[in-house]
Amino acid sequence: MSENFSNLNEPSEPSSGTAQMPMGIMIVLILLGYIGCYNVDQWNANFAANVHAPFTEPDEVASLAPSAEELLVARGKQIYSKNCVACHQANGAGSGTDIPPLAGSEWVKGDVATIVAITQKGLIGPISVAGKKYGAGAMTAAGETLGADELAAVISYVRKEWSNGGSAVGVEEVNDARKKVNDSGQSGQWEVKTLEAAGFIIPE
Amino acid sequence: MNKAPWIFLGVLFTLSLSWWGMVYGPASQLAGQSADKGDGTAVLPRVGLAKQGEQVYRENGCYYCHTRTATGGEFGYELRLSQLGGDREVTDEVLGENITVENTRLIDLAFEFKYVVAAKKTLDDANKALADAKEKTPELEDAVAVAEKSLKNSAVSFKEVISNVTEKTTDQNEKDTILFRAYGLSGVEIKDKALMIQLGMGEQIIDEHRKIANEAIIKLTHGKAQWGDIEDMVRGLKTRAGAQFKLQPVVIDWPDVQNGVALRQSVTRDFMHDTHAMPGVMQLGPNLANAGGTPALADSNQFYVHLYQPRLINEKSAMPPYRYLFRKIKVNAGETSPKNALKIKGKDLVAGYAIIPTEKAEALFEFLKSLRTDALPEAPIVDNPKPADDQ
Amino acid sequence: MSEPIDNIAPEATPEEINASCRWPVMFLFFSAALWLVKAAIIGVMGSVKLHMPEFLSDISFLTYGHLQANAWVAFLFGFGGNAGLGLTLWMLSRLRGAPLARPGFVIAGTVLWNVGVTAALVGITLGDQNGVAGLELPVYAGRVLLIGQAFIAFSAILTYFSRRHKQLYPSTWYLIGALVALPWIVGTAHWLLAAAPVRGAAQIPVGHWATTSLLQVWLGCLGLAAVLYFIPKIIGRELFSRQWAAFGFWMLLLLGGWVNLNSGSPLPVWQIKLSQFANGLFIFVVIAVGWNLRQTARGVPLLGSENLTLKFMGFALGAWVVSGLFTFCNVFPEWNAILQFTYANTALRHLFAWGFFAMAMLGGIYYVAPRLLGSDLDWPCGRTVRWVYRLIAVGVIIITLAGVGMAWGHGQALQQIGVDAMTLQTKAINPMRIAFLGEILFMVSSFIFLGSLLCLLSRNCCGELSPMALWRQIREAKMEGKTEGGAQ
Repeated sequence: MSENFSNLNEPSEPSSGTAQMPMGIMIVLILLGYIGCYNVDQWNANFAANVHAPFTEPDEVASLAPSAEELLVARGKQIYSKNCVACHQANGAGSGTDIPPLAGSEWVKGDVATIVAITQKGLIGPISVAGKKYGAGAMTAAGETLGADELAAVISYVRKEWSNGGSAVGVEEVNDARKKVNDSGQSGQWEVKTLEAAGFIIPE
Repeated sequence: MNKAPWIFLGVLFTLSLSWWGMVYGPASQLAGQSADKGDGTAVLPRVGLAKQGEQVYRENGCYYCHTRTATGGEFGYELRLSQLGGDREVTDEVLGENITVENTRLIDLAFEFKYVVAAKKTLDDANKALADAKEKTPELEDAVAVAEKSLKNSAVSFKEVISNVTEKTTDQNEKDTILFRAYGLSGVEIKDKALMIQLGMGEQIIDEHRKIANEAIIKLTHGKAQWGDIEDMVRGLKTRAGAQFKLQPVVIDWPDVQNGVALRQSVTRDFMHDTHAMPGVMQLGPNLANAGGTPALADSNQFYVHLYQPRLINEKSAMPPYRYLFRKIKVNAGETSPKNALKIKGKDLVAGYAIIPTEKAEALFEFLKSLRTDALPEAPIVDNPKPADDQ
Repeated sequence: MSEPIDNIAPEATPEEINASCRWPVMFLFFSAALWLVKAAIIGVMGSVKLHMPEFLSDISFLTYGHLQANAWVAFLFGFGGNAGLGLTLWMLSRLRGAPLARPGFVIAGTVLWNVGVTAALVGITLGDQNGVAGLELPVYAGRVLLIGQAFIAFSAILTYFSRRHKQLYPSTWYLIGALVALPWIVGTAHWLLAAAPVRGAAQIPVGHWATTSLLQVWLGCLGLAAVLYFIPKIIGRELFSRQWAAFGFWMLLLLGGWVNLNSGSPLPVWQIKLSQFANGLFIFVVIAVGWNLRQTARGVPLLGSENLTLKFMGFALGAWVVSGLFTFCNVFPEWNAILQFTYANTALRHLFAWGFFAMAMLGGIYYVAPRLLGSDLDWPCGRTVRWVYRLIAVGVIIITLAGVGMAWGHGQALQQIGVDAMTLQTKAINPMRIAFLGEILFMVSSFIFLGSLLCLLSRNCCGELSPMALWRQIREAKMEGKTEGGAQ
């Protein structure tokens, strides 16, 4: 059928008819709406702000979140790579006969106060680490400008990294140790002797 | 629907529904989002040049051809158990049938380790008490005898389990490795070298034991597990068995991660400090979600040359050149060009001229450097084992 | 629902209404045609840049980013706003049986509106685009546009309430929907993305809502109003079902702002899920509108009709349905994951903007403009105007088929592991090379349309003094000369 409708003669304004929507469509719509709502209900992750695809549940994301200790160590690694890596190396091996290693060192596993004292004021050799003598190296007061939390992070990192197997360190411990260092009245860098004399525990 | 005002009200109401869901809801939810990462550090806003760079990125419409969105993919889970809790029955119950026979035996061995060491400790304590006691009473001697018996039983049971676990293994090193993994899993501290040798550990590697013990991780699933499969196990291990473990997502089919585009999917907090959030329209050029973490931006000169004329770096590149972000300065004979002039193979780009990035180019560089996909609590970095590791 | 019909003034005659609309609406139409040409030219320039990177590359304001934003703003607000508002006024007057109220406001509003669009283009050229792809409008331009629209809407709403016609025809709902939606959408975008911007990531859903509502709700309502009006009117039947029309209308308003969110967007899963749900329900909008019009025009081949307005409207309806089906397909995340960051989104926007909206508007203008200008209802050079329809139709088909098809290849390449960067680039650019052809066709057709409109204006207003008439006289004189010469 082909009608030629012309623009030239204008029919009256259109009106709308009375045909009803079929009931079937309504039922399909309700059904699909139900499926959709069910689907949204299943996969909405409780409308949490922190669940992004491909993860699906708030619990899942919470289980994946690293523990406080892991975060502390990860943060310590960043601080280490800024402040320590130039001398002690990324693998903690130190350098030559001047800079002692941190990997496998009995010092880093030892008393926290001693570590804080050394980072706070610096240390002039000689020092014995892991059965070897290290001589001329002089450590600066690298930890002096760090906040207690940052120092705790970097010490925790060093104690746990390279199979050192030490424990993480809290901010409280660092603050206590700092107080002890300040009370000792040490002005320049330590030597092992003065460190021992000030009452810090020296590893065997 | 013939009443004119009703149409108005209806339109207002209906539009307000999608407004509520797509505008009000997300905006109010994300407005209160904290920058805190949970470890005392925060997602930091951009400052200085990097912040200005965002405006350069916007002005030039970089977001049309580069996305900053790393999409998610298919992944599975590995549950990496590093230390067992105290209760063997609960652990067995929680782990259920999710683990391989081999791993079950290893866990058995680790518990035997716990028992034998505990028995040894009891015996030592009893002996010490006996030695300290001024008057040796029969009760104390009985206690020692009981402890001795218990240690003996434990050691016998331990040896049995060892032989079970290592029955197919002839290599002493392998046996030692299994032992030390169990030792690491048990989480006990043994200072007594003699006891360790007595328990069957090779003397030559005792000194390295720490390293092996620290790597004593057993993978309880094989990467295919979904959250629904392991949900109960993870909860049980955490709350009831008291074990130490790490749940590690592992890539199965995740193109953006496997192609090195990003380390994880993009999340809202990657955009939280943006003045204009620009996730991108088309991925015509490389995805910039992790631009700052790629080697392409390690060398600023390389980047500037690419921006100045992409086809100097890659002949077939379809990126337009951005020469107007650079200044061209005449260099007289005998003078050296400024330090920041663009160089290709150590020479000036255009002989006799120095091409110098303007502040806008520098800002853009800093902005791109700031785009990273570091781990966030809601977006852990997924493990992407290289094909070589699969074997 | 029956309307009390007492106290209603008698309906105005079509001639009275046409006369009341004449200059305000022609002003809007003419501006629309001008902006369409600009949008098409800038669009072609932008399209060139995607595959010829060295083209005009040393001019900072001619990067793809600037051009793309300019082309879209010129189309959306320049052409879309002017043409849409023009048709709104005319259709409202006709459907309410009342002459246009306060035409002075319309003229003032049109001036402001065009100032706003110009400001937007200048602003984007100077680097003020706001970073929301699809709504790059700078802040200040948005304000001018809103004021301009308020002036025009004032007139439209007065006309709407001065009802003299007892039934509220469905097109009226759509027109009112569009009138309300525009300030709401642009106002939200202005408020939450520019004046007091929401925080970082929240801009993504807000920006998406604004851009997708502008397309689906604003342009959608305007286009569908025209389609629903002209198809029954020209074929002289009543619209099949008022109920279907109402259902489609409310569902469109409800879902228009939710749909088409990329499944890979860096947003919490619930937002993406909700959008998927909306995509799924969108099929009902397509069915409601499509079925209603199919039943109305049963047996009438719209595209095969001799009537150009029907052709325009038929194509617009078809394009809208196809576009709606693509929207529905986004309910499947696997589908969306492949197309989301490819050229497909742009291609589908072209399908919607040119294939549906521009077709509906041009068809409407084609019908209305001669009526506004006088009694001479055919177009001068009527054969030429047909080329507007043909070229846009071919362009849209090329862009949709080739653009989406090849973008599919690109999307799959993006999902491959270890894919070579150059392969990826080639696959990304292929659809754009072909789309470039489509853009050129759009440009040519926009020129033809502007030219035809000029001819119409000059013929109907200048009469014997119009250039066309003069040319005809010269030619006839020559012919006469020739025949006389031949006779000698």
